Amino acid sequence: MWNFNSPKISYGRDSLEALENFSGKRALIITDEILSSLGYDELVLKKFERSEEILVKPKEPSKEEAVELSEKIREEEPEVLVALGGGSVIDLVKAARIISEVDIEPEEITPFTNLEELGFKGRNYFVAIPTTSGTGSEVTWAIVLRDEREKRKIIMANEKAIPDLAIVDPIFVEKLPKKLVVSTGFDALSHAIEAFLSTFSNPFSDALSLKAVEIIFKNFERSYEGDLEAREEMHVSATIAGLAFSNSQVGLVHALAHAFGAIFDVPHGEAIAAFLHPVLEFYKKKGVEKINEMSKYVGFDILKEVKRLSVRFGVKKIFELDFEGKINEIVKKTMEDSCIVTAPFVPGEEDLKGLLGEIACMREKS
Amino acid sequence: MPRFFSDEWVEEYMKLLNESKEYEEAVKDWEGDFLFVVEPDEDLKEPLYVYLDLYHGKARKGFAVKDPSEISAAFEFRGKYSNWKKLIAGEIDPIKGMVTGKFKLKGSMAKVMRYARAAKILVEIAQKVETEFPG
Repeated sequence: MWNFNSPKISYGRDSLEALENFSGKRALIITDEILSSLGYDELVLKKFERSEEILVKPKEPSKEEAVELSEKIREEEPEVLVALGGGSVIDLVKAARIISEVDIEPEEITPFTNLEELGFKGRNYFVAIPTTSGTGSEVTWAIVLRDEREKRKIIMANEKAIPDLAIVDPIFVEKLPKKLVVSTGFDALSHAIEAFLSTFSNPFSDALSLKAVEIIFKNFERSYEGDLEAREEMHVSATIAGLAFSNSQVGLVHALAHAFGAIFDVPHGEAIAAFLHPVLEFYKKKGVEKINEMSKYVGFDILKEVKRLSVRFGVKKIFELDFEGKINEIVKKTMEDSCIVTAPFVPGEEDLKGLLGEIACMREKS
Repeated sequence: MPRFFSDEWVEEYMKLLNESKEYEEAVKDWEGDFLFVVEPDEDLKEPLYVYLDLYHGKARKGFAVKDPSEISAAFEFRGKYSNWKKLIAGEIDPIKGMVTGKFKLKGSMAKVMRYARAAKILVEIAQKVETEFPG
């Protein structure tokens, strides 16, 4: 027995109009300061007759920020809650919405937590509007928050975290900076690939993974060059990849990126981009056959194409950081990351030390 | 062949756990005891209980429990007998089993999430115990 979960999805140009169905409701819009300075929040605010707005810092959210936001949600009691932003904003709202109704620590939002038993009712209709094309957070059950004290990322998930409605409107990514096109594009690509390789993969997630991979490879570079049609394709594919991994899970690329990103304060997408190719090579060496299976399905060598894109976009810059002295810490945090469980090859500590050592050697050679 | 959830079964299970390097590595910092509960269904009339104290990569104490009210464990893991049989046979993944509600866990979920890999290893080792199932 397994489930397939998805919110309602409105997508394509003008899909923001889906908000007009709620125009008479009292809304609370949460977005970040940069998106507000670009005027994106106005596009949403004007769809409602009664609305309030909360601006948050444009950075990966901490659990303290989630608790703080939950208190504001409790005070405002909105009928509609809108998260407008990248994965950081959407994840923040996901966590805050749950703890605004249920008195638990954010870390206790796990796939095994029965939130209904704890009193969660889903009081606010939850709309997520992504403004980057990568995390897929608008359709997933996953939440990532930073734990500042322990310098780690808390990986949470629960079916009740899934938004009610995802609005995937390309208008929000037309001006996306090239650097973000690359990092979020690799994030989406990793979701599609890792979902296929996951030990929890299933026919539903496989179909979505393969379609997302096909669209991403076809459009990634053109999107980087500013082709708006390609941007739109990438935006939709990120949501498709999000659906794939939310119903299948990810693996070692994400576990390593979470650990490395938390220790060195590297943005999620950049860490994912850097680890994607080395981990796929590692899997291949360990005999993970599904990489070949995926290549056969899509009609090209996945490993070669990921490498080509990695070189093209110079994604391994983060390995220039002096990380050798932190290998033990990276390994410990990776082993504690729940994403590792569904990897097609679950490494031991020595495997991980070997992999990180190889990455360090490659840097010295280059 | 030891009967499922008997003292002999627990003894054999603990022996295999304590021999496993993979298990030791996965839970070397773990501190927490469990009460495992098998809920009755068509093939089992009375519930079964096992207590297991897992500490720093080893199973340091374990036994079949007659009266669960005498046990105060940090974690409780429970499910129907038919689902336990499927779990031990490898037909249910332990993580999927908990997500879909076939098994219920009480205790610090956040702590368990950091040791998700260990859950799989615990089940894989239980599968190695030659077991006689009642009913």
